[in-house]
Amino acid sequence: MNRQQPVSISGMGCICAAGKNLPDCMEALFTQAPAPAPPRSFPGAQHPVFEVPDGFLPASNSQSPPMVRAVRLVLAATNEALADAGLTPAALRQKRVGVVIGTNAGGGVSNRALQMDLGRIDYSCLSPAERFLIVNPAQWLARHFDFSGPHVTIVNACSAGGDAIGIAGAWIRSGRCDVVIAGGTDALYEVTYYGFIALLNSDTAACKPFDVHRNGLNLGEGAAIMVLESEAMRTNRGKKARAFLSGYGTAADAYHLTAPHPEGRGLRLAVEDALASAGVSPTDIAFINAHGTGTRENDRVESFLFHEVFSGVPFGSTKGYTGHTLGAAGAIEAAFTIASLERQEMPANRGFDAPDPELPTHPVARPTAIRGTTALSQTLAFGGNNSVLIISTGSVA
Amino acid sequence: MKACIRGAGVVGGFGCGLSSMEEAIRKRPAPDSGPEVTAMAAFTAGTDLLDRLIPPRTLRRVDHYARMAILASHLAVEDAGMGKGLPENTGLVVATGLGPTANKLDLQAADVAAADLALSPILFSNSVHNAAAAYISMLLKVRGPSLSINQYEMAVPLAFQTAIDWLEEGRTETVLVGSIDCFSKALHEASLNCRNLKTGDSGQGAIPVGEGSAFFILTRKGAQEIRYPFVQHVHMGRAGRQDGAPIPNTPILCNATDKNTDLMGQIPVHANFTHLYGTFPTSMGMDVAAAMLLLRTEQLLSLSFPQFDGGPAFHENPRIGCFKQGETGDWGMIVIGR
Repeated sequence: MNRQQPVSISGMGCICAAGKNLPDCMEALFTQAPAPAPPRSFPGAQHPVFEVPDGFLPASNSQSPPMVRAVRLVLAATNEALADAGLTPAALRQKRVGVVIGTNAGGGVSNRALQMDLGRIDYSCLSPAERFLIVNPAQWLARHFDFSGPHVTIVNACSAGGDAIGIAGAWIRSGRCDVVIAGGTDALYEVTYYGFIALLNSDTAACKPFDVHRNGLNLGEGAAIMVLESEAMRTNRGKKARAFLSGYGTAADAYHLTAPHPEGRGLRLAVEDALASAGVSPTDIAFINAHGTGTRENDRVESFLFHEVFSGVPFGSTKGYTGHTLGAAGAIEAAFTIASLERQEMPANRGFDAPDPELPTHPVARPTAIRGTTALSQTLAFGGNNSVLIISTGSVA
Repeated sequence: MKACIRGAGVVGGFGCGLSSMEEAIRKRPAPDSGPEVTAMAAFTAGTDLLDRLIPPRTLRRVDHYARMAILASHLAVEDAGMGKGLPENTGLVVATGLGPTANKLDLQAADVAAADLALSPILFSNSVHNAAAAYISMLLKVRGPSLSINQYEMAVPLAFQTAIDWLEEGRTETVLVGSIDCFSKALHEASLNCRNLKTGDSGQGAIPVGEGSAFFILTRKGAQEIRYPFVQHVHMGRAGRQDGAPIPNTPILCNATDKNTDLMGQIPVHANFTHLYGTFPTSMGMDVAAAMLLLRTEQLLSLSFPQFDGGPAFHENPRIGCFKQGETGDWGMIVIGR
């Protein structure tokens, strides 16, 4: 893997159960965060989730196509990110603006309306294109803001948000775009909710990543967006970068449809590629935002990797504050990683109380000061996808 | 950067493999005057051949959607003469318009809210959009970068662009890139209903629905013996914007529908093979395979574009554009050339 030119991140936005914007989320990560609860949207369901309060969402409207929940989430994050970057949609009209969004449910949800109508044998206004337009977040954003560049929805399951940011970096470096709106979004959805229960991967209580008593994940929902910008455009307008995307690695386990490779084969390859593309070594990493879902296997694989490759580097999972937001997780956690670098402090691994004697290394149990300007955020996914981002603050050579 | 096509595999209504596609083109070359008037039947793809390549037990949990992709990807490997194995760091990009739709509809048909414990974990696992990519990476033992793209009718050009980016960045030396969509009766009925048609109805401009998968092995240019044309360019844009018009003096394969009218007017020489594999969101992958065959065999080219005489400019740089304009107004074109 060749070393890649770092790409500026000039703005960020985030919404999840922890907060309606990134500052609120960070405040919750270091003070009082909400606890998971049975989902309001699925009556009778008992497994707790991290649901975004309706009051956090931008108002639904009568636009055509209408806004589904995942779109409302990503619109909120995009508005925040653009404002943070000091950009307006009008100012971007003459620029080549791309959109790359990761999501888990993807086009599958596009047929939900069809399914609901199947029982009534009413197919009106349900052309495939219309259903697609309603739920495809990249398409929706590109059309809503009238962006002229390429737009794509990535469906790499739980690593999709991280992959979206990595792909966006390539679009900037290649000169294809001046700006790319990149991130992830996912809303709670019955199929994934009951699917994880069927796979016995869902905890009946609050999740406990890396804890000896960990028993599965809590689902969450949310979105995060990064504004990636070319150096030429950023310096022209005199905007300081909040951070840089320094490296991106992705690799497949080629092992199992839903379980990670027991030795983290693909994850190791992804980490190696990310480090090489950033031109840094493990000792340069100030801290790691782990995927840390709270499932037995995921946390075991990550712990062994951290012990063997990043010995002594503090790490933690933020799933105890947000739940597993699936296709949004990689982006939300990248935003948390940058915000943590900025405050030189990482949040406690919520839910971790009792170390697992079978794991070689353990996460931080309380908010922890960090030193350094480079951090790593990783996501593992169904299908054996692994995605690793290396992010730096300050100036990057 | 031009990307070299080392091999290709296709599965569609015409059969399996490039030879089946070539035979179908010879028997029924593309009409050069736009879509035929055709009954609204569906071109479905058979995957029985897969059971001869891979033990059926290995695939017992795999649905039709992923089976098509697995078969097409294995045929591409075989066509490239890489049957002993792809490089371990081979990248994989899978483009889909609708994902494992039939599966997802089955899943949603189950009353999940009422019977959570009855939800099949296998059905759920197969419904995840990167399931096809996961099966391919497991069976071909490729551990390079892997990406699944769900962008309706623009998924194919975006997938090829990503594959070329990866080669250019040095992220990998080889990429397996492909497309996949499966037929769904429910979706088909919905489409017909929107057009006030019923199954079996004919109509001016009606195009058969299809399904299928096309996979290609791409490497950096010049690294290997050249049997096929290169991927020269990938263009994308939106109708009504001045962001790149279709290229001149180049025959175009398109998956034409009656909604393609505005840009199609700018393309003087075009043909389509929808009468061989139907139309579906990622049918552009099939067009790329067909373009490869036309450029490899001059007879097929003149059979398919009987009125085209590109003159010296074309003979100096023979190329075919594979074009698709989507219902969203976006368009994409992949230019294949020698």
